Amino acid sequence: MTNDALFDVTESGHSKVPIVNARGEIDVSTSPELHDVLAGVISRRPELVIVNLSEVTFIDSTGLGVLVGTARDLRAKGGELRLVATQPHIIKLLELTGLDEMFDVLPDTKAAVTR
Amino acid sequence: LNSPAAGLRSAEAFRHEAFFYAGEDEFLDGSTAFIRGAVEAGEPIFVVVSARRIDLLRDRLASDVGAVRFADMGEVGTNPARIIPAWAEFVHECGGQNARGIGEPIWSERSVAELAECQRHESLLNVAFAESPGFTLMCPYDSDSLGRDVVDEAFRSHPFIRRGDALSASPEFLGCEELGRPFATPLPAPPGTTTDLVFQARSLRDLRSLVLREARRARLSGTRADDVVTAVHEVASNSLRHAGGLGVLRMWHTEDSLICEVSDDGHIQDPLVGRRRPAVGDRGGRGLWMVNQLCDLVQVRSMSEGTTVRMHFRCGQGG
Repeated sequence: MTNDALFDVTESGHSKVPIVNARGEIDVSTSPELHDVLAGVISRRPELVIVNLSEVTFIDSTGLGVLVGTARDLRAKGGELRLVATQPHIIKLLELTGLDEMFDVLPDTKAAVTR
Repeated sequence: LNSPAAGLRSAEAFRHEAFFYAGEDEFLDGSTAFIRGAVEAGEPIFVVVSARRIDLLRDRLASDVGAVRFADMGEVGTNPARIIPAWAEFVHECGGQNARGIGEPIWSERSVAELAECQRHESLLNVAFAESPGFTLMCPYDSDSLGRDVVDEAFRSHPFIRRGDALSASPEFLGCEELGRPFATPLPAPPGTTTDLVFQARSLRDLRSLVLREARRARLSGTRADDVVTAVHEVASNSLRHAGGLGVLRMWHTEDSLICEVSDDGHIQDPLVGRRRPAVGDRGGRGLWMVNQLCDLVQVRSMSEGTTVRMHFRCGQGG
């Protein structure tokens, strides 16, 4: 089985507010793919990027590190990264690591765009 | 090497005291005097003891109680590796002014494994706060209910000993260098029947499935099973990153817990690994921190043959 079946990442939204939708398991082996997509998105200097984690079933510290790194790079360009998360376990990990202070964590993409 | 005598002279250094008392009245007398001393000096004071003792101290302190911050050691220190971050946060909030604490992580009902980790914690406090001048931490030990060996170990892990009003240097204190060495005391052998997996980079997903099955067999709730999977995955990922790209997972059940143990041939050099809250903007350094927050107990041993991390998850509790 290839990683594609376990993880995939697509882009939606529009150029001003791109939405990056991750699905499946974000771990040591799949987080580089997430990193690459996010790096491509933020190179276009959007003001707001939304990473939708609502269909992510697992995320490890490497995946969290990618989100932190992306948020920092985006912030340096004057942009902001918001997360959509609904899985209680993922919300719990964001809290345990204090990352809920770094990101706005919202229940759906609509709330994330309009907040 | 740290000399306790030199420490006594220097009011600026971290002062880590073992306070021996016999029975609850002596505990209350000594702790109340210590707290009043802090309040009179206008220094912040944080008391982390059992919920029962917090109630008793509140009654005793009467009008002084408003100046005291309390936390239940039964919550903060279930996993003793979470206690140093709580003190670090307090010291940080005090912003360099003198501050005092009372922390009682050891009581007679602690299991053998918990006691070993509490004693490791007491040793590491010296390392963690070596650079925190003006912080005084008093650690009560009930000499009535604790074994002689526990008292002896407190003499080795504390530079100062308090009995009643008398404070003296501990002649047995081992010093920061010795206490900060990797914890090499071997763990008790696992039972005869364990579920084992040799893992490498490509098998982390299989490892997670196996751990989830074992967590369900242990009747852990859905969210608690997720915690187990995340914690074991993080430790296994560390093995792959820092050791030879290979590790061994063993799991077994005890009367009240699921135990998951990861071994590899790497070495952990940083004695405080997993005990510092990662700064929000840091890209890395979250793995073992998360593990300590998710597990009921974590035992790290690092010796010449390699490193073992044993994680305990209590069954039959909500999550």
